[in-house]
Amino acid sequence: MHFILYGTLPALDVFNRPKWAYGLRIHDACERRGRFDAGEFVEQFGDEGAKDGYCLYKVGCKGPYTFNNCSKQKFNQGTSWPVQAGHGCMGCSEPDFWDKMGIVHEPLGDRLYHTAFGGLGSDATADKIGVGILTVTAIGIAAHAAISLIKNPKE
Amino acid sequence: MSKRVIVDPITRIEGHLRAEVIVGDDGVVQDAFVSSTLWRGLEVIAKGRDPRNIPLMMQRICGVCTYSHYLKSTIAVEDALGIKIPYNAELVRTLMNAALFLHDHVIHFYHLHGVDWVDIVSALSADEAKASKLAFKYTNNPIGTGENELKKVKEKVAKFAQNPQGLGPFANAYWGHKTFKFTPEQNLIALSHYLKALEIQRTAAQMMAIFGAKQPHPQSLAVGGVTCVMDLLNPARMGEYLVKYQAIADFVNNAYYADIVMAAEMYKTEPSVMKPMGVKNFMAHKEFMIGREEYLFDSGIIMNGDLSKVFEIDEDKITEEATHSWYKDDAPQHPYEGTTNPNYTGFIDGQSVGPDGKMVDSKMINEKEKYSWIKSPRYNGEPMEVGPLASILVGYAKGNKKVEAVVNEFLAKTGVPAAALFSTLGRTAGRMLQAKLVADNALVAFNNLIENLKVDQETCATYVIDKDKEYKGRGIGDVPRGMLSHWIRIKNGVVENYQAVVPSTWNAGPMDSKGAKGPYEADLIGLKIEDLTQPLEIIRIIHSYDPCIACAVHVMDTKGKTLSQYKIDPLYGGCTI
Repeated sequence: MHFILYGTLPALDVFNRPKWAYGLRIHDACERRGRFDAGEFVEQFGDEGAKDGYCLYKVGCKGPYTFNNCSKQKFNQGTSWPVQAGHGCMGCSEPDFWDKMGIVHEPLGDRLYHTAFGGLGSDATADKIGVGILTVTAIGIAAHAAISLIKNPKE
Repeated sequence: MSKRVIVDPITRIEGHLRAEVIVGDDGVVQDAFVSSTLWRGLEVIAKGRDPRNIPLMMQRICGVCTYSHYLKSTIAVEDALGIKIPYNAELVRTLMNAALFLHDHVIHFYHLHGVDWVDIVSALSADEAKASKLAFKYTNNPIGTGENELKKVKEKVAKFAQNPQGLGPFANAYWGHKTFKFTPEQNLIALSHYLKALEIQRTAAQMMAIFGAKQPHPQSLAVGGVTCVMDLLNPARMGEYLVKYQAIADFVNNAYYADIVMAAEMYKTEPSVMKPMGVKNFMAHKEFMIGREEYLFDSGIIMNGDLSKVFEIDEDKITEEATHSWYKDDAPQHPYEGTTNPNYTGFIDGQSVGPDGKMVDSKMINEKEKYSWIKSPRYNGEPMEVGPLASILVGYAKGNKKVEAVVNEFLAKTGVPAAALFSTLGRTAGRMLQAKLVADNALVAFNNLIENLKVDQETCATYVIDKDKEYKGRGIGDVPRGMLSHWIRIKNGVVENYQAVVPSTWNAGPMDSKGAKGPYEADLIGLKIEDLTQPLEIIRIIHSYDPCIACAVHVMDTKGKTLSQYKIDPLYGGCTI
């Protein structure tokens, strides 16, 4: 679409996804972001927080780890998207998300050992994942920067 | 001498399907074999995973009836864990189901099956003034058939006709075929509805998304209930649902219904659509909770077309076998113990009728051995047809007042006898009648939900999964293509075994060990084909079942024997960054 409209290829991220769609995390433009910042969380589906639109992080939202524009574009001509329907993001646009995003309705720290990360142990899981995510993000940012530099020397 | 005709791929369906028929010199089908050429394998992927992740994974079995699998898989986990979900959650699931059925049935008739009945080229020679008037014969409030509108439709499609591919989206069909029965004016009315239905299906998708987040692949169910409580407590959202629902219900009653009445009138003398079906056993499961313990559709089994007796379903009698399927374990298995071990044996060399009518070398089904990725489900050893018609017949035979009323009204309006329900026309009409029942009754569920929300706002039950316990459960019910069941066993907190027995498997499965044929194959036998190079009659029959093959089969290249192989990185991020 970008090529048809503008005649140029769009800028890409490290996974070769167009940045105009994959540049921000779900979390960055989430309509419930204010709730996250305020520390207001849904503790279980259907609770008072859920009725008030609290943040879904504790019931498994993977928005903080997922790069996509669902929170801006929504689905079906803007009708809704998972977070609006009270269900967290499942991270479906990240590589190997079935294996790496843990249990859909639990925060990323609580995961089954053998389905993810090639069987990393449970006690160390949370820490390692934390560090891992930071590392991945750091590498990602570095790679973004490096690629941007190469592709857009003028910037 | 008998000849073999191969239709592969059958288009305008979901998935990959092949039909081979052996035709005598008189053009009558003597034998028929139906094969799916794609492997599924999701059941294998499910093993060892957390059961809470399975419904979202299972809905990706397909891109059409995604909610069907999402719902039945969720119910399977709930059944295993012994969870009773809140009444509100049941009703919201019904409202989402209504969106799905209306979306699915409208798309099926107009965009997948419709051009088996409607000759698009003929519509271009229609008189739009005459057509506009004719539309009132079939309904008091026609949709999209004003003279001006019909003129625009003609202009639009005439433009397609001028482009290099012929009729654009309507290119490459059997236009002018002898078994097309509509007049040019009738074709134009249906063509206008075809285009209108493109808008209607978009609205139906939005209707799903209001409570479902998106369509396809909704994401608002959780084991225990639904997550969309905020939408339920928002009058603006409830209003949005209602407005979309009313637009679609209007289309179903004044376009879809009218067009099927028109089809019954014109096709009731066409032998290829009135031929009695081959398998007259029907099975359907209750679905659509519209009030407390009140369901729109019933459970039951009809044997040999005998509507005087309805048998209850005994779930222990459901099995799948693989005598003629590309799997290792041939013997019948109950889904709780079902296996999915591929054993692909491929096709053999032979000759079939080519596009010009001459015999050509072809890869052919080896019907003596294994020939399909679809298994053969049986109930008590018998093949069963499932689908909207089965649901309608079971309701009718059981004396379901709502079902009886619409069936009797339809038969009276068209002058078609009840026996004609057991035909391709009956199957196509059954789907429309089911859509009408949903369109006429979803509001009951909506109103009950509003009433209940005033006193009870529970939407999701809590539960625990005990890793030391073993669980088993199933989610079973009728979805747009018929009875669907998901079967799960949980051990150590993860999936021990998973099987899905899906509608198109019941209908499209190959022969069983006794040589008994499933509905598709049995239905093709005895069919007269006018022109072997244009087997429209075959396609019309197969389409009437609304094949959805992605979920019926268990990535496969039909030329080679190697299954796709996937390399899984041992560590996340490993080599991709």
